Amino acid sequence: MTDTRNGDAGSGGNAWHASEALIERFAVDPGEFDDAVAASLEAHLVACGDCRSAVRERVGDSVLEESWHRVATIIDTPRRSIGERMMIRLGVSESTARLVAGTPALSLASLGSIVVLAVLAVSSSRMTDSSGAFLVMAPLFPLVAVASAFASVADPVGETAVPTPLQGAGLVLRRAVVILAVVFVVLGAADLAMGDLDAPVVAWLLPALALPVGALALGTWVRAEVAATTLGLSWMTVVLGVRWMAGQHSDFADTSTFAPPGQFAAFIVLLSAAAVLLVRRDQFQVLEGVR
Amino acid sequence: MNGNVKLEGVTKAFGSLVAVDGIDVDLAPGVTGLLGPNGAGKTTLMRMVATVIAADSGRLDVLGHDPSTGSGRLEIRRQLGYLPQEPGFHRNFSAFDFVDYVAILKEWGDRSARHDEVRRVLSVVGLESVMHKRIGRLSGGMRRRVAIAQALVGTPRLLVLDEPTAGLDPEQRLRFRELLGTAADGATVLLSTHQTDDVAALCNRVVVLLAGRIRFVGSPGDLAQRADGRVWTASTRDARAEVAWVTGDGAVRHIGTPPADAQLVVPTVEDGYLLLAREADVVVVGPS
Repeated sequence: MTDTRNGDAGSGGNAWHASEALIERFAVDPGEFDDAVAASLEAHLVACGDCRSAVRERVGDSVLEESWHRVATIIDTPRRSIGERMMIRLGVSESTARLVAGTPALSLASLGSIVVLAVLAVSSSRMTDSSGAFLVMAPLFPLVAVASAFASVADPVGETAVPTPLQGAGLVLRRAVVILAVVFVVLGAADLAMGDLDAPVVAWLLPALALPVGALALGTWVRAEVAATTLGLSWMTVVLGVRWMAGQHSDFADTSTFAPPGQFAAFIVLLSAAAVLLVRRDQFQVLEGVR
Repeated sequence: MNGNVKLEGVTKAFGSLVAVDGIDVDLAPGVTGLLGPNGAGKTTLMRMVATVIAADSGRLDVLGHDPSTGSGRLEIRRQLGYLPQEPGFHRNFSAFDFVDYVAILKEWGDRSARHDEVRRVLSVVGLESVMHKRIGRLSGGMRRRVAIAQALVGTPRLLVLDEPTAGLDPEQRLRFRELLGTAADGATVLLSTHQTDDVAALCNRVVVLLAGRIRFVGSPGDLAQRADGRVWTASTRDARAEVAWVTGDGAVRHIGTPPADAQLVVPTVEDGYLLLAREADVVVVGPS
């Protein structure tokens, strides 16, 4: 592998040096060696200043510069979050994954709080032996999560992000879709955990889509926090009002909110909100809250 | 009007407060300094030029595009570097992460080229040795430099910098002046500041904004010249002066109508600005 050469020992106190032929080949194409030879030679180069100099003399400046560039790129690559890595595995581009994962709404703390709230919703339903509590609370999770993805604090670089080419409905919707996907997985798992209480997915799914899309649409006029609060309160008013009309002791799960009339109303809200969003999407390009 | 940024009758109000009131201005390539007291409308004006907020009325033309349309905004943003007064910093981001994130937002999709650009701008502001430190651990001046670095990504044609020298120490301010001199080569730069010496050192042109209206447009020399023959020093305060303050050497510097025996001095940009503010009946709390 390596030959003994005449001359002094290397700076590391080596009694041998790599042959000139070996150094020549290494300088031209280090990739031609098998792993064992390359590792041995590299270990020697780390310890031997003379051989390092010999390699350096044979390597062109452009090759060195390119090597340093590759090293710097690897070192400088920001550490990816779990969400970012998952998105990249699913085929999302590196830059898009970074932008989407950047929102605090997708932080472990935010997602953890959604899981905790989902557990509370399931527990409440189990304690009351009815899926009503879960059905009422489930649509609020995506509402809060999506609103936090386009609120004034949603972007990790704040106002700096606003006058950039990628700022706008595209970025907001990408974040919203990812957050909704995560929240719906949590809600689906929570629904399964309800067991025999039987909270039909269709009963909470439409309101859980209509509320966040409604918040996005309303958010083209007012701040995200205001939009989410307005819709959250509206939802609770409707749910409680319908129950009151049905009789104080009715089970939420049995009210018309979660029956076909309520589902149809949620569907209409969803469609209307989507239409508004489409028409007013440019509003996401300017500073939220002061437009 | 033949500048890169043109405003005609631009107005912006927040509720009953008119922040910018029918402004006409034409910014040519070079560095334009925006002077004015707090609440004068500087940030609102800069945000409109930078497409962060929309004007209520009037016409804006920025780099040949209309910022009130989606396509116009996009074209402007592709050539813009913007430093907000209070940039947000994610506490977990390093300086590199921050600038890299903004570079992605500026459509630098290719990772290798993007990282080269991030290293370049961080080097320009002298932060290459700390670029992997978390921003939360950097000093206020360093954070400001990180924010300046992101504005330089892509060598924009238009730089809108809201108080870029706030928080910088004197040495850093000198360095900023140097780098802006390079960055502004051929570009249009609009910067706001409370530092009149920055204006004198950096700007080809100065715009003075008082209570939402433009009161002066000209060179820093022209602004200083407005106070020519109206600035004098004395050992004691003269009650007839419109503005007076004690300088570092113990003398009292006055601006106003000098007495016959006054010892007139060469006016500075600050003198011109203070006199202008006084004439417009806007209270500016002391010289900067």
